[in-house]
Amino acid sequence: MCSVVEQFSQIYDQYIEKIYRYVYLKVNSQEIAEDITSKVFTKTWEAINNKGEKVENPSAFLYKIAQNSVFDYYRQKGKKAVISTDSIAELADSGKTIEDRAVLAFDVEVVKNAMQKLKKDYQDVLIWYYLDDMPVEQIAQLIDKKEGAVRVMLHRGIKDLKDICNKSQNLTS
Amino acid sequence: MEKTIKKLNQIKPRQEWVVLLKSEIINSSYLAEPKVNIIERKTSVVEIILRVLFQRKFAYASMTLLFFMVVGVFGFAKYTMPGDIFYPVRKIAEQTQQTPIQIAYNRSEDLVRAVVENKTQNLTPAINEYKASVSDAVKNLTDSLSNKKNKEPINNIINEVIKIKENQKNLQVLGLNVGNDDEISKLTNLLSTIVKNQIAYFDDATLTEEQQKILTQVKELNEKERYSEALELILEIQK
Repeated sequence: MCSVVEQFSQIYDQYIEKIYRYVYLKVNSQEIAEDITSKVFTKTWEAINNKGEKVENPSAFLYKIAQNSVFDYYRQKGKKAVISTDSIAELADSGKTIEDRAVLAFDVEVVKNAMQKLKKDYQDVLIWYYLDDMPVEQIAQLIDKKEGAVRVMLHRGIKDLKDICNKSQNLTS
Repeated sequence: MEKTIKKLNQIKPRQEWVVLLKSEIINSSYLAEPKVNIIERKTSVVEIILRVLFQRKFAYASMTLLFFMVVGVFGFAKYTMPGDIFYPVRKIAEQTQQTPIQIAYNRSEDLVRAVVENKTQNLTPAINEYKASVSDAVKNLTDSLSNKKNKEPINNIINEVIKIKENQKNLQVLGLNVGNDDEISKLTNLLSTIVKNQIAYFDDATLTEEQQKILTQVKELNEKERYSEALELILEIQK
């Protein structure tokens, strides 16, 4: 039993922030992100403890559950991702001046909102590649596509994100 | 743009929520579900084995095999002696079928066998078992005689006691003297009690002339503390 707890504990500590961030960027709500993330890890614990499964690839395992959970959330609630501006306070304190933090928070908020307007597939690859530092090879395995296809998705994702950000800034100015 | 995307790393969950969630997940499942599942897993393995064993095709074969195994173990156990692996099986079988004095006789036989066959590894356990069985028999017979609730016929007891005493003599001849031991000396005291009881019983009974003569001899042997011989003559009176 002890090794089960240790195994889960290791996975939890390593992935809790990543999974939360992944979910948060998709649902844009702290409360919902916490709820879905807790479901992801509860399912992981059940798989390890009750079913006795050995999680060979925790990253793939967790993101698969997270993807399905987000999908279920939108399907059950009949909701679409809503762009919100109430979450700048949730960003961690980077230790800079108020002015710097304000500029930074603005940039981040723009990108965050733009991310939520992005196609789902592009969202995933951009989060995994730029935020989780996941290699292209692993992303390709995760979404069952060739590495070349992932690179194309990254390229197009960045391009689309830039376009969405520019449109957003033009509207603001 | 890539740098700005990386800034999204600043999105982090609340630290207290992270800690709380972890302990909640582990504790809630840890307390209730796993135990049930472990039992279920064990049960399922046992169920599978039982299902296989008790399938119609296997039922007769497995029952026959089980029967022969039990008979084999008990049969084999008959020939074991103290210190052998299967001796406890024999001991259990004896305890359910025989009286303490009969068991004491069996142990005296085992001891003689161990000495005759020079089974040195069995000797010490055989001596210990013999002493324990005699002690047990003496206690049982003393209780029976004092309570007058002895269910076993006196001649059976006498017969067994005589055989035990004979084995003691045989052991002495073979160079093993266990007669001076405390436990064994209790047996001699018991013999004297039995002889005295029997003399008192026959004094009150109506005896033939022949029986009266034998009783006189019994009394003489009793005075000389030759109880085994006295018991043999008591058996003659009872015929």
